[in-house]
Amino acid sequence: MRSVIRFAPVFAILLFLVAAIAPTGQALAADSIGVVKRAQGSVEVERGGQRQPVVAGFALQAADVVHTGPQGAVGITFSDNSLIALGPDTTFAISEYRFDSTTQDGAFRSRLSRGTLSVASGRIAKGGRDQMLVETPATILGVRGTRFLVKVDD
Amino acid sequence: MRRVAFAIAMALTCAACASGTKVVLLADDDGTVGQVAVNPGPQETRLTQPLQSATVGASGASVGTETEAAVKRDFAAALAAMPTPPMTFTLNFEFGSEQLNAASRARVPEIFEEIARRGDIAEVVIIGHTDTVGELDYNDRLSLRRAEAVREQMIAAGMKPDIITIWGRGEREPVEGGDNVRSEVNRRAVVVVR
Repeated sequence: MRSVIRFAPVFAILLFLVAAIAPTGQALAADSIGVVKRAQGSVEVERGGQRQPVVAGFALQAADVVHTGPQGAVGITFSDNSLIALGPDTTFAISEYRFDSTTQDGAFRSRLSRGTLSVASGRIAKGGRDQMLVETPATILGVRGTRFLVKVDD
Repeated sequence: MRRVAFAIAMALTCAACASGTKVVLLADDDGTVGQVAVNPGPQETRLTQPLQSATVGASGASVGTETEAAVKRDFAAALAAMPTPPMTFTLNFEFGSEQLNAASRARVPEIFEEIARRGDIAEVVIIGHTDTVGELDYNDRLSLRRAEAVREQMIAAGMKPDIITIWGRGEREPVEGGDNVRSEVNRRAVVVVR
């Protein structure tokens, strides 16, 4: 822990740089990787270090982190037809999202830090072995074209 | 830098100690079952059956089977929030033309009904396809032109332009035949409402 504290200023500077470089403001349609179809309770997206509330119709971008509160839930349809839903008290980060609509090659990497996740995978997972990965604090999941559920206990 | 790396590694390790992960495989809507690989690689644990689960903690992965009741208890909110699955409509053209044929024109109202059913959040993807005659690049461009032509026909029929995205899949997803085969079935557009 001591070394974490000692390097806290380094992390603060890194966070500041990430926040300064990351784009802010409304999503351009071209950057949209998915659309929120259902939202209830508290749902927020963290983008460029800032949190904003989310309602149905909100366009997600790569590197967004989605947070739900104690009564929150959210359903998202991604551009490759992947369907994802989060239950309450959940943190879900989109680490990487690429999708080529012509070749349908791509990569979808995400991290579920806490809470519950429901997935029906789309075109990216069909494109090749483990092109869709879900990371959790305990493991990594390779998605091979399917529906599944994930729960991370605090 | 080594100490920073060490601090990050420690933080990750302790997170792994604290939080267990459970993953449960489900059947797809059409009854087929896919796979999830836990810790993909040579040491992976593979889930292949509906309701098969893996619980992963500090001591590794243990495989079990969930009851439907347990799944409903643990995942009710996430399952209820799942978006409605996309619906697809396959449309065909008049011979040698980018105009939809009569049978496909007759299906356009179904597309509008599906959009209305989904309300404000509805999106439409129009995907153009070609047959396998000609070069890959040429067909990629041709398929995008076909998608654009269908987009214009949909807008003329009253679809809002800002909900539409077009893709050209070229000859990459034929319904029938091998390479260099003339096919009216492959010359098509697929409209996805989601």
